[in-house]
Amino acid sequence: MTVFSFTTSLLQLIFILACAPLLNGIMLKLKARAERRVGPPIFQTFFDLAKLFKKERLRSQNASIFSALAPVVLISSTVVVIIVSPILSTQELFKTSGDLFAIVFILLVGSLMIALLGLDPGTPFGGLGSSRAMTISSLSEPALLVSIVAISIQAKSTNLSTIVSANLSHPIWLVSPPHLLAIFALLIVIFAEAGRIPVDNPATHLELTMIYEAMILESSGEDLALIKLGEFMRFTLLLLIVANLFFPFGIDTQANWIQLILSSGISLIKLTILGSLVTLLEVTQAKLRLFRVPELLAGAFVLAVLAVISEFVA
Amino acid sequence: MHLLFYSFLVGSIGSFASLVLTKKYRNKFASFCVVLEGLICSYESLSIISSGKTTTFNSNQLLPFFGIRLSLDPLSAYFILITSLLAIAVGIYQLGYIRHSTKAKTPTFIYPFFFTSMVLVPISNSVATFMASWEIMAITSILLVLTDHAKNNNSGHATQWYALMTHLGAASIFIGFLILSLGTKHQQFSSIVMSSSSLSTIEKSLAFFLLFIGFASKAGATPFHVWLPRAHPQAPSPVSAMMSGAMVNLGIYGIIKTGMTLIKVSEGWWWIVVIAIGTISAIYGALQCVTNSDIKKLLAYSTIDNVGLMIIGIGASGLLATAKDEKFALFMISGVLFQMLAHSIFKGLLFLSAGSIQYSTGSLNLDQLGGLLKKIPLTSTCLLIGAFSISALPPFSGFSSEWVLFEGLFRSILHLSGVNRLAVLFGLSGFALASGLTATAFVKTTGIGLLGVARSSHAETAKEVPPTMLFSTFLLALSCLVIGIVPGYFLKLTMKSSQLLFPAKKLSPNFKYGSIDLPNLATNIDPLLLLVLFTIALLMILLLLKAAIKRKVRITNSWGCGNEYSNSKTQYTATSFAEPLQRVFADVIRPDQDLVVSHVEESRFYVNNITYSNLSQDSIERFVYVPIKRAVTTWGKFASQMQNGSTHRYLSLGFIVLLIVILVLS
Repeated sequence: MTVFSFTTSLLQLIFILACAPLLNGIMLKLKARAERRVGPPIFQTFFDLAKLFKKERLRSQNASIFSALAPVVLISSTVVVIIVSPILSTQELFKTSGDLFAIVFILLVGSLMIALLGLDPGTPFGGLGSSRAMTISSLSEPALLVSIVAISIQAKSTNLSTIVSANLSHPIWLVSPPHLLAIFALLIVIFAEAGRIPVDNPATHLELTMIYEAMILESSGEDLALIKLGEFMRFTLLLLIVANLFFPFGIDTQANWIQLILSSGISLIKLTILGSLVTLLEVTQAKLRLFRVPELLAGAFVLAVLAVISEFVA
Repeated sequence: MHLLFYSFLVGSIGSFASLVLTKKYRNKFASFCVVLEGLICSYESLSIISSGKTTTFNSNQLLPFFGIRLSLDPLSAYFILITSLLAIAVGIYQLGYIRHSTKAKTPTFIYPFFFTSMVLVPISNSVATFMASWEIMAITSILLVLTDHAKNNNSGHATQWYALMTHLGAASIFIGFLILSLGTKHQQFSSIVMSSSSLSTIEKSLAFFLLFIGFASKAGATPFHVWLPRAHPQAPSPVSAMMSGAMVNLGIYGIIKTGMTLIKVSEGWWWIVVIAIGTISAIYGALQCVTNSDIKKLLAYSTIDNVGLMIIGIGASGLLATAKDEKFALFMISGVLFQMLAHSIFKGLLFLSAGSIQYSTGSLNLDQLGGLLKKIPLTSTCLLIGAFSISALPPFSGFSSEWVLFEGLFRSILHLSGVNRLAVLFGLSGFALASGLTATAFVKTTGIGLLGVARSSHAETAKEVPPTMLFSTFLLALSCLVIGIVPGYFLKLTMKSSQLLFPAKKLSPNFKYGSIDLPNLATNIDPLLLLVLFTIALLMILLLLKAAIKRKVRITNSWGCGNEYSNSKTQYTATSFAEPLQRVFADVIRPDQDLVVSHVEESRFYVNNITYSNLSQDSIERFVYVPIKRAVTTWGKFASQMQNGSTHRYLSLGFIVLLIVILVLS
């Protein structure tokens, strides 16, 4: 642990804390403009979160300690991943932490907490949401782990920093077919895990189709604010990880302070571009029926397997 | 070695004393003896693993004709260690449990022998000794499954399945050993190792698969698993814990022993078949685990799932060994042994917690439970820790062990080639799907069982269990946490134990502060560090919230989109939770679903009554075993026609058979 890596981790945390609501605001604005609406200002999400923090917190009489714990655990698990992942710099805070498999399962802690939160108040909607969310999460696991294998093969390591550095020193790897296939599979999984269209629609509260919103229906006040913030942070984090896997240029590798500052700016640009692409997808695509989602995830799995196989054919 | 004999003596004293002691002291003394036996065994096995030495014991007098041949090496010591650790926890648990469950002396009498036989199996060093201890293990466990037969009609049926399958498996193992020892006059394992290399490939393959089928059926690998989800739930919880946590390990031991020591040079395609069986077991077990609503039954299926993961690992290790990549083969097999340790502990914990839930509510059906976290918080916490471990959540044991397993499979994909690599990729995909499904299954178990509102009066009036039972489950829960936080120490143990399989190679891992760091593989993990980071983040957020927000939480009714949900029946149930996955995998699970809608007489537009039933069945049992059973019955009926009770006919039949035998032999 050096001063630089410590600062990096802190900066990554602040960067994502600031950018996550902003990204959501930008995406909402873009979506509205694409639909020929004026849309909310891009800082609206900050105002919404601030409002929720001020609201009274209600809790069901059936609820156990999970209802209080789940939002905090969601945020803390995300924070741990933010600290150990190479987002602005590949300088690791600790030598033994940023493993991809570990990152997947730390994020799973947050997902499982929210799924349990859905079952906590004993209402039918919560159960509905967590049942569907867990179904999707378990079906996306094969695509996720196999695409991790595909991404790790060239660097011969599952450590995220090592992979990003190795890709930077061999830029030709980035455009190799296996790498692209794996990134595509990973993106589908991220859409599924983050509950975006075509798997789930975060903008709706329609009881027949909702997945994520159903689980957090009973949360209010700062509980809800924390959950929302946690979700935005996770989505931003996942997009940034994919961005660094697909296009790592701009990230700091030499523990250079100026590069670190530059890297924040570049990351913001990467994030905006990726966010706009996601918005474009959301505007043009309809949400899939729940029982068509397994087909999508099976498709992602096939892509990931193809990625691994083509890695060795080449 | 001699310490083990003393421990057997202690166990036997406990079991015979339970026959003569009065009710007041019987359980206490028997449990004390089992715990002492476990302590001695674990001490002895730890010292053997750390010294790395092999000790043997031979006696020609103890067993007629063949004598007894025992050999304690680090690998068998590792299996004894797991068995005895679990036995200690179960011994403590039984102090509270037996008092409520049964008045009979039989379980207390048999249990120490069951434990002893599980210690004897891995140290057996000849075919006769091995088969003898294997049979003692089978028979004692059969008797233990029967414990509650007076109260429970199903246990007789389950026992029949178990007895049949275990003896078919034993027969298969025995034939396999016979083929292996064709080239030698002796039956010690050491001479089998020497002679097996002179066998032809066909003979070796036949022996390997006969032994594999026998051991896989004990381990519960699909499609030889049908007895397991019947027998494990029927036994009393402490016995289920021992069967799922320790007995299935010996099946794994058999597979490792056969493929990696008895048959020195193995064929690559064997291991591909092994990986295929492992993958099918993992996925099938996990799927059935998701769809079942009975806690003990779904735990039994999750044992099949975990055994599948271990078998995938063994297959990958075997492939690496045949490809002469022994360094990674060693890493992979250590991962398997590590997963086994983690599985034994958390499965023991889950079965014992299930037993506690049955103790306090009288039910194991998730659809009748609910809200237990508030009623019995301590037991529920133990169940939660077990569920988090099995779902591979950091920092619990399942995470660390599955990380090692994943890393091993990843290395196998890197270092193998051609079809072998594809086989491991197939195994890794199965591993991934199974781990996702397991997480779902245990969100279901804990979410439906422990959260929400009680679904029956039993769950409503649940009372916390006696302190001995709680102490035992807490011990196991703590072990899950410790194994998860400092996996380095435990991986070191498994590497030492599996070193004798690949004596030439050594990995040079760095296990500082219990983290795992393999510098030459550029791979590392440190769950302790992650836990510290997580705790700091959690505390800081909580402090910030406390400082910033002074308002209190208002407790109200559940909102539920504005509807009143006063009835606990409107909650999601375990069945409805698993319905989406059941529908996605309908072709594999083949559930029996039935929907009957009856209308009032006057108009068919008014519904009077809706009945929905959803019975999840074991499709392999239905489509493979039931037809076989039917065919055997038909053949038996046909054959019985020849037996009309006439002595003349029997004599003539005997004469004909004798003629045929003479003709064939000449």
